[in-house]
Amino acid sequence: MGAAQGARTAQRQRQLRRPAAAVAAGLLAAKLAPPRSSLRQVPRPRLFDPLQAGTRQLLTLVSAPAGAGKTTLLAAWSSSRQPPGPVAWLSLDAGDNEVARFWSYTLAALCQSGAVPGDSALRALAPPAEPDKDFLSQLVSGLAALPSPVVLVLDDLHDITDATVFEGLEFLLRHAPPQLRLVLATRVDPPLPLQRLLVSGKLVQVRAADLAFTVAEAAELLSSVEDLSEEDLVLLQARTEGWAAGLRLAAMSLEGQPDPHQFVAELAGDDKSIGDYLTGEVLDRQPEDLRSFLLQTSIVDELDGDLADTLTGGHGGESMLARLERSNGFVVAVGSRRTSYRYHQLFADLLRYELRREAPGQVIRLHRRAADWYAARGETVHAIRQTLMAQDWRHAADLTAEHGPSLILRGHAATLHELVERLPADLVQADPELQLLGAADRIVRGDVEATAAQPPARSQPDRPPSRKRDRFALLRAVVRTMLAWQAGDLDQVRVDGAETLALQSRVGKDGEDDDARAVALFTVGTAELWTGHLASAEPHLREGIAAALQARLGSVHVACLSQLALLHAIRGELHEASRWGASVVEGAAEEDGSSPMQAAGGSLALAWVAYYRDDLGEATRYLDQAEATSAADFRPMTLMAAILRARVQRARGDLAGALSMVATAHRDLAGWRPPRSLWRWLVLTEAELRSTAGQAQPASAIRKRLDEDRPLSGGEAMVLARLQLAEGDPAGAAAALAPCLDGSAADGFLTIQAEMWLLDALAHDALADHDQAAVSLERALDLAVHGGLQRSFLDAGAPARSLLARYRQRLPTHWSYLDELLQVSAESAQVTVVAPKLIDHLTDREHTVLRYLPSLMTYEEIAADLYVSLNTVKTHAYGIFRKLGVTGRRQAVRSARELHLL
Amino acid sequence: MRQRRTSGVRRPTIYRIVVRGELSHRYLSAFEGMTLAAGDGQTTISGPVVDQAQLYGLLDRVSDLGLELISVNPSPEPAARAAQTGR
Repeated sequence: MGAAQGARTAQRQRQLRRPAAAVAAGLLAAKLAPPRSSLRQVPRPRLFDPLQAGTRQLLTLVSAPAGAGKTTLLAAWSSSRQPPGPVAWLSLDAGDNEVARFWSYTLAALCQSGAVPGDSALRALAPPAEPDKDFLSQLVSGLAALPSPVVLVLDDLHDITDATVFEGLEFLLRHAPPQLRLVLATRVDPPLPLQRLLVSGKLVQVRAADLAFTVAEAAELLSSVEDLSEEDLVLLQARTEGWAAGLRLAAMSLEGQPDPHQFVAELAGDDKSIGDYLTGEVLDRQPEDLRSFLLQTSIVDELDGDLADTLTGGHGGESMLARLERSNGFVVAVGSRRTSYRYHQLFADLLRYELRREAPGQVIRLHRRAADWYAARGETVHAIRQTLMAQDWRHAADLTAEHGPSLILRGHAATLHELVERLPADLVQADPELQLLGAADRIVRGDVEATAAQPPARSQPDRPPSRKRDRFALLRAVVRTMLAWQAGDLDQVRVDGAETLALQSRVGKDGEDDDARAVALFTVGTAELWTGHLASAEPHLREGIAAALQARLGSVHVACLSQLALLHAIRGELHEASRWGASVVEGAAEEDGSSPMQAAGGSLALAWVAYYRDDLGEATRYLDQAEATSAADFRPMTLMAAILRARVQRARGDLAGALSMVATAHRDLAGWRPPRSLWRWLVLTEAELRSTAGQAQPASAIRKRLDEDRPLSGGEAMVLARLQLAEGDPAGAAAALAPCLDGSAADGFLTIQAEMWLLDALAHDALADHDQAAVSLERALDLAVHGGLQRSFLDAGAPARSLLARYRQRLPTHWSYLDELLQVSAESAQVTVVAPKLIDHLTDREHTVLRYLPSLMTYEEIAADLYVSLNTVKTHAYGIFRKLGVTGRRQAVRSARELHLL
Repeated sequence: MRQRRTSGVRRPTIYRIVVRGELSHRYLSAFEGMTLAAGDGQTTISGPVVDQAQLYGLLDRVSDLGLELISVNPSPEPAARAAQTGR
């Protein structure tokens, strides 16, 4: 038990360190390394030659029946010094017959091979739910940028039958850069244009006849068997036709044979099927305990000592497996720690058939044992698979329904589909819950037909609440949440996610589904954060951190940390933001392959901290870093980065650059409706920039633009107050600020407490209420000094400088920070703000039209796009020309670019 | 020859799959529902096959076991007269 406990702890530790990209991957380590046998291998240099020739070209095809020695050959070649570059290995199985999974594993294999540098675009590439030409083109260009060749080995490709996978492979072959050397190992020829590749000299093949062992090789393989004559060897080679598995079985049968000659002679003179006959020979020769060990443990694909003991009901499974691996090659060790084993596929099949023949009653019992073992380890998918194999349909259906929502949340909807498919059709048809589970993957991807097939909501208030009904409600909430997430509709994610959380705590047993809860908390917290519900986002993200730690989900843990860091940054809580941000960035650097979204979140939070602390160089550096790592864009974060970059540019005195940054951000919104509060943040940022540039629009106009039905958040009111102060309306500003300061304003972005108090101080100073001004300024300094906030004071410019100087006498406790601010502020006042020159300011409508001018669209197309008439567009265009002092569209674009309006 | 695909009632066809080498009863469980007849250095696996999916499943098993496929033929014989298990 101690060993089992240890193994479990080790497994959990490994999970915690598992790269985010591999969250969905489960047993990834075992798939991404060639199996290695400790058995002495027969060196087959003659077969290395075609592999060398093939990998100088584009494609090498190793096509031969089961047991021909394909994997063994490729594994030996991979670990030799021969391949022209690092080898990316992927062992496929029937579970990978799904296009998104196929490509994400392929990417994982490439990234782990050592051929892909840390800054390669491939590391940030993630296949969409339905990998398309865009994705494949990015894959191709990522490969083309590699510094050296990489050999991609896809083993057991015959397990893949999905036509879209092969379409993708064909695309890859057609557009492959010289860096890619593809090696395919399969029992059946893949549906690829092999003939064309062969004719053009880009394909080298290794087929069954090549793989067949020669007499010399057979001699080497059988060298441990004593008393074999040359003649015996020739007979054996001929009888097995050099079939590797046959020779290996023969070697095992011959171990300890009293008369090898006799055995070989009998075998050669017989017409029996080699595999059949030798399996019988080998198994019959094993001591009874080993024989039943082999049969009983053959029912799982991969096992360790603990699982072996569970299946046999005995002990010593671990040493038994190690011995089997060393002595006769029945099993191979897999995975980096090599404490898991797999039977050679052909042996596993033979053993399973033998078990079914000998003890058909045991088969179901063994699958049940395996199912319980997996269930106890929380390996739900394996548990369900084994239950299915036990043909325990009711139980399998229950397990599937029980764990379905959590599987969907963790991104396993496709697996779920596959599991439901294997249930008897009549069972599924009678159960709407199972139907929804089976369709979840397509619904989540936004497949309209599948969504329509979703069973209707049934509200039955007269029936007492039951667990099963709650569970169904949870499933529906989860599916809707994931659908909204895929569609980028964060407002909807927030609503459905909250329902998911509520139902989870009603349905779940304590501590059982920490991982699903952690994912749900992250999802809801993130949606809340970006829709401006900061107050509820914070506890959810904090709970998510705790749940992720509990479930040892390293990637979700880091993801929650990253969002929490951003939350604090948005609130100007610099101390916390920098603490969490730094732990994310460090964690991401340590965890190779960590999700770019998380790493970018950490960098972005640190950029805000640096900005508020007035370290603009550092802020830019972190912004660059965030941009470089977030090729897999999370749009809210991209928008936030643009807003920050604009503010950094303004702080540097480059107002034109800042304005064009905001204009670009507006343009990038095309095709995406950002959460309302995020959009309002962008509008306010632009208004502030314009105000600084002397293009101020009245605060009342801005308020109007912000959609008047919705109350202003604290931060939004604050920005308007600043505009009102600039307009010379301190009373209006103080009134706008009041709800922010007493905490009654709505939650939202930009709610920076220190800054609010500073503005309040400015307003009251202007109203000659000096006592209140002093109190407010003191509050502002109290809050600012904690995190080292400076930027708000600098942005407030000369009025703030004067305020600080005049109230200095009244605030002795803050002298040192106040003096520092005064000095920095005086320095920053030296920065000359360069405002663009424009005859007259463009209206908002003109700005909108201006953004279209560089495109190839005609005025008519622009009008259609904006839902206005052709004449309106022309009027705006001529308005732009007049104000820019130009006469045509092309000139206007050039001039607008010079003025950084574009 | 009543083999219309659209027919509601599916009548299984008897298939004869011939592989090289003489198989023992050991492999019977790999080809559940079929009978094996071995002789002359080859084995005939025969029995009712409902549809193409089942047939391909059987052929996959032949391939999984590393057996050499010689021929596959539908047979007009009724199931009752399928060959007996050899050996």
